Parts: sequence; C-alpha cells; structure tokens
Amino acid sequence: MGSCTAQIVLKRASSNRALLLYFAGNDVLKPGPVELAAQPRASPCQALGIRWASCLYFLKFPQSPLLTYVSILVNVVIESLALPGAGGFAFMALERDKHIAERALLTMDEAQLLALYRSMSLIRRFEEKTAEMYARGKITGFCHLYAGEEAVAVGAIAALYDKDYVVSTYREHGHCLAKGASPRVVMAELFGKATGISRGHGGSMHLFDANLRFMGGYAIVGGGLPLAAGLGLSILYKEEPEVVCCFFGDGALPQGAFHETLNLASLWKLPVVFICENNFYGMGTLVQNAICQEELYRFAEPYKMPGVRVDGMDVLDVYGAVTEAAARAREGDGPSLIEAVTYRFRGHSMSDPAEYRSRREERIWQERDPIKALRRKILHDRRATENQLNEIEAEVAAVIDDAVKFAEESPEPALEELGKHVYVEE
Amino acid sequence: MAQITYREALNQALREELERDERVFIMGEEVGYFGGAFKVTDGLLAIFGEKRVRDTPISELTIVGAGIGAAMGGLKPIVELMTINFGLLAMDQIVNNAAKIHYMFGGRAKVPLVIRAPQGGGHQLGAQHSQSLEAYFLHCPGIRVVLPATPADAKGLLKSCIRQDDPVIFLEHESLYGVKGEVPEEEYLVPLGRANVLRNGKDLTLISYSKCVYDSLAAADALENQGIDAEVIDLRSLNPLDMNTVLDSVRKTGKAIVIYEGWYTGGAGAEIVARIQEAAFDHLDAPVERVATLDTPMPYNAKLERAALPSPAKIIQVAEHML
Ligand SMILES: Cc1ncc(C[n+]2csc(CCOP(=O)(O)OP(=O)(O)O)c2C)c(N)n1
Ligand SMILES: [Mg+2]
Repeated sequence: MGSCTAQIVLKRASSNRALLLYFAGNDVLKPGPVELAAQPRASPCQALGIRWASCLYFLKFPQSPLLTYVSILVNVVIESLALPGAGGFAFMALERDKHIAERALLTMDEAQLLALYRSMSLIRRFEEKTAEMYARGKITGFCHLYAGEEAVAVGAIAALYDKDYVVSTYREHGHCLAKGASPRVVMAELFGKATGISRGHGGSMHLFDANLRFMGGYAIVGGGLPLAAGLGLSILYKEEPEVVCCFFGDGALPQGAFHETLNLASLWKLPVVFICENNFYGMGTLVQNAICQEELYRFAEPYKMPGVRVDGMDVLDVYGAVTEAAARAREGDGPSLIEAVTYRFRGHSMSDPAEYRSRREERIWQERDPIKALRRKILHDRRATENQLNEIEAEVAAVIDDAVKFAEESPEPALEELGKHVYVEE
Repeated sequence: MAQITYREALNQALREELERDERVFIMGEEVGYFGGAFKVTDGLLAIFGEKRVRDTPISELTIVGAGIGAAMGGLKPIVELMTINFGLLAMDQIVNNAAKIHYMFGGRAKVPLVIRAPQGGGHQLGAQHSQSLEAYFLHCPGIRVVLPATPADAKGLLKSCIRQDDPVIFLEHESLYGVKGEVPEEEYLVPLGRANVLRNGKDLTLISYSKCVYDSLAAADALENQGIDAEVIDLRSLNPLDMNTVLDSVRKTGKAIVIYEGWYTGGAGAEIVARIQEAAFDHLDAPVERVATLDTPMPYNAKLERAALPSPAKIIQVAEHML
C-alpha cells in the first residue's frame, strides 16, 4: 500500500452536493454528483485502485457559499503501490479557489498564453536534449532535470517583471530559461564550455546571469534562501520596487536556513516570494518521511505570512498565486510562502532510476503533464489552433537543436581560466 | 597622531565608511541598541539609524547569507558575528556561497561582504568561547582573511576591506579591543596583502599576526637582553599572504618561528612554515618552529588556560633552543 497525490476539483452544486469535475488530472473525467454528506458510491477512484477512505475528504467541502470551485489535493492511498514509509494516508489538502487560475486564463491574451506554452515547451525540449546529451557523455557531473515541473517556474516567472530577482537551486535549468536565458549559453554551460553562462565554471547546478536578475543556482539544500532574504533587503534598502522569487524543494523545509530565513523575511517584511516546489521527494525520501508537517504551506503560519498550496501542474494556478504574492511584496506587505505541488518526471538526477516509486504513480502524474494540460485548455477554449501550438513545438525544437550545436562547437575554456575569478581583485 | 584604542579605531573606520558610502551598512546581533557585544559599533545607531545599523535575530547562517544576498544586490554589507565561535553556524554560507559565488558563476557575480568577528582566548571563557579559527577560512580559496594587530591597522585594514569587492573574514582579537596605539588623524588606508616589519633584526625572524604580534614583540625585547636580535613581522592578513616580506627576512636571518593562536595542528602557521621551507630551504640554518595553542579545547582554569596559549616565554624558550 502506498500513497500519491491526486487533485480533485469540485464544483458546488448546492449546499451539500458538489460535482466532481476532475480527478487526478483527467480533465472533466466522468463528471457526476457527489454527496457531500455521505461516502461516495462510485467514483473514478475505483478505476485507479484508490481506496474509498481517501474520498472522505469530500465531507470537508467548505461551507462558504462563495466558493464554487474547489481544488483539493489529496494524498490518496493506492492499494497496489508499495511506497517506502507511506503507511496510512494523510490528507494534504488545501481548498483553493480555482477561480484564480480560471481568471488568469480569461484575462490573458493569446500572446501571453502562447508565451507560457512556448516557455514550458522550450524547457521540456531542453531537458529532453540534456538527457540525450548526458547519455552521450557530452554532459557530465550532477544533472537534475526539471521535466514535469515546468508549470512552476514558467507560471511564477511570468508573474514577475524583468527586474525582479530569481534565486534557485541545482534543479534550475527551467528557472534560468524561464527568466530569459538563451538556451545556447545554458547548454554550453552544461557542456562546460567557455561560452557557457558561467564560463564553464559552474555546470548544470550553477547557472547565473545578473543582467537577467537570475541570481544563481545553489547546490546546498536550503542555501539559496538566506541570499533571497539579502536581495530582498537590498531592494528595501534602495527603495526599489522589485521582488525576489526564491525557489526551493520540499527537501529544504527541514533545514535551519528555511526557518531562519522565513522568520527574518517576515520580521523585516522583505519583498520575497518563497516558492516551495513540492515534488514529494527529496532524492528518494518521501515528504512525509522527512517533515513532521507535510502540508508544507502551513509553515507560513508560524512566520505570520500568507501560505497557499497551488497546483504546480497548472501554470495558470501558479501564475495567479505568484501574481498575488508579488503584488503583496511590492506593496510592502512582506513575504509569502507558496507550495506548488508538482512532480518530476525523471529521477532525482541523471544517475537515479527512481526505484523508490512505482511506474504506476509516475503514469498518474504523467497524465497531468502541465504542458499537455495547458494545451488542452487552450484548445478547449479555442484560444489558439492546434496548428499554432504545433508550430511552437517545431520552433522550440529548432532552438534547442541550435543550442546543442552552439554548445558542441564552442571552445573549451583555456587552461589559464582555472585560476581566474577566484577573487575580483587578483 | 592620536592615541586611541583598537575598539575606537574600528568604530572610526565603520563611521567613516558609513558616511562615505550610502551602500555600506552594518548588521548583526546586538550591533544597534546594545552597541555591539564588544561595543565596536557603539554610537553608530544614533548617527545612522536602523537602516544602516541593523539588529538581527540570532540566526548566524541567515545573517551571513543575507549579507551575501545584499552584496549581490549592490550593497556593501558589514556583518558582525558576535564571536567567531558562533560563526561556525554560518560556515555553510561562508564556504559554500561567499567564497564560491564569484568563481562558480565565471566571474560574473561578486560578493563585496565584510564579516567582522571577534575571536581568541585568554579570558577564561571556556572551550566554546575561546577559539581562534582563522585556519578554517584560510583553507578556503575565495575569501580574504584579515587579522589586524594594532589600532592603526584595525582602522586602515577595515576601511580597505570595505572598499574592495571580495568577501572578507575580518578577525579581531578579543584581548586587543582595549589596546591603545597611534592612529593617524587624517584619512588613510592600509592595503591588503602587505606584511609589516615591526622590528628589524638579523638573528631570527618572528612571524605572527593578531594578538601574537604583541607576544612576539615582548619576546624580541627579552631576547635583545640576551644579545639576540630578532626581526618581528606582522602578517596583517593570511589571505592575501605576503610571503615576500617573510622570505626576505628569513633569507637574511636563516631562522624563523611562526607564532599563532590557532591550534598547533593544522594551524595557519603550519602553512607558513611549509612555504618558507619550499622557497627558502637553502637559507635556513634550523628547522622553522611553531609556537601555537596546545591541541586541546580551551580549559577554564586560569593557570591551565595560560599554559595552553602562546606566550612570550614560550617564544623565548624556542628561540633559545634554536640559537
Ligand atoms: C545541505 C545538503 N544536504 C544534502 C544534500 C544532497 N542532496 C542533494 S539534492 C537532495 C534532495 C533535495 O530534495 P528537494 O529539496 O525536495 O529538491 P528536489 O531535488 O526534489 O527538486 C539532497 C539530499 C545537499 N545538496 N545539500
Ligand atoms: Mg523534492
């Protein structure tokens, strides 16, 4: 027996009835009435082998008549899975008004929607090529792919201005590209070339571009959070309007740096948006085996800042939440914590076959592929044609091919580079 | 020239740099309302306000990390660690971030951060409050390690550190805050990486930094009575390390003792000894010796503590044996 997370979206039908709109990413899957007061009789859960007990959460449908849509993320027990340590199940639920995502969808113009689509596709393609180049020995060292999590970086960074800062982790190809880095210099960095974004000194885990205000990928879990606070402090100090968006994994939450930084940021009302990418695993360790409070957004509460959980597979949901949090930070109201529930499609790093999780769990999440989801949405709402989206895919593929070519043809750093850049003043 | 204390000299340096450059600010535990645990920042809050002299919670890791972030955001933070013993909680940010960022981002980022911290033993503060940890930082490329001995150097070096663009660990010895010395009235800087020959001699070179400079000077005075003419060098900083001054002296005297308050094993002095023998082996008349703190945690008992630390008597003993 094991557990995974599924998303359930309910639409309020009356005071005690709701419509099940979708489950586990299957858009509008067998919509039908759900009795709020009773255990549901039939549901798509069965098809997925999920125990009924998990659906008890329906009873907690909030009574506020203002809520019409509710997105619930539940940690459901799947009988056929054998995940380490996942005994029983804990509801990891947050009622969050899906309106925000819906509103984002409505208020964005076509160009914006397509830009999101392009950015996510670009990252996916980049990561696919990276895996390929890694397998061919062109890229070496630690390399952590972002495939599956694209909606988080793209949704969040789309909600920022160019001059806003981003601080990231070692799983940062996506954030760096979303912030506007050319795939050429990022790929060249992965190849260790002189033309790389960090001159070949950094590698996959240490991308940086001050002009783009991409303030770096850091490989010590939790190590980037204090830097984000410091950047936030520099913004306040200079009385500038920017905000800092700080990405980190679920693995950072047990770290002292997380707690110290949230305290400091809240105490000083620093303009920082903390985005926890909860992909359920820190390497092979499940969140519930690492953190006493697995509803990660709740760590906001003791630090007196807003905390929300968003669907990290829904770029618009992330976009909406970060837009709100960034506005708040910009207005001087301080930091927020956003937990984006997401999933990495690959192992922890290139050398990890992810034996600690089932292929079935992976399939469930792959059905929630954030790029496909946006594609479905765009087509469903007729915001663009299939042709347009296909063209984007083709264009992006060409850009990535060009990046690989650029990286391949770029020179290695000269040996004299070895001792350079240790100090600004030699 | 005015006679002021090491503490006052540091305070002046901070005040002048805060006045000179809007980007300079101080943060740390108790730096504001309390005036600094060792009163180095005393009075600065009243002049510059909370924005420039910022009290922080007890969160060393994050104070240093935030200093790094603020430096990357274009400011010139001076972070005070209450003592270096607590700085160990910030070791990750110092070693993995401050010292690495310029290099690992290909020279495209910089961290102009000064971390000030008192250190050293001699006050019966016990094992957790009496350490001299410069070797930990010296070991790590990418971060400057500066240890002033005199009030004039304390001021001139601190100002230089604030004006340059690399991260610095600026270690002040707790026993020196009350030490008085002449400090120029006019504006001046002491450049980094230039050792200071405090006393000329032809028989023996005593190489030290921070408080041990005073032990070396006292030893040199005593040795003079025995007809031994010792040269005394204050390194001022371990990174950058001015080996030229050291080697010039050792080539002249043929004998050297390195005196430092870190532990004997793996201390900064071991590095200097190694470099002397690498570069001046043919000029040496005797093995280069070390006088350092015994390899034990610091005892509380006064007699034992004195016995653990370097002292003029120990230097004299080694020198006599050598000559
Ligand atoms: C301080 C520290 N401890 C351990 C590691 C080794 N490590 C690298 S990634 C990782 C898991 C982190 O997981 P998470 O924060 O959830 O990020 P994800 O990889 O899921 O994106 C661990 C333990 C590290 N890099 N830093
Ligand atoms: Mg994780």
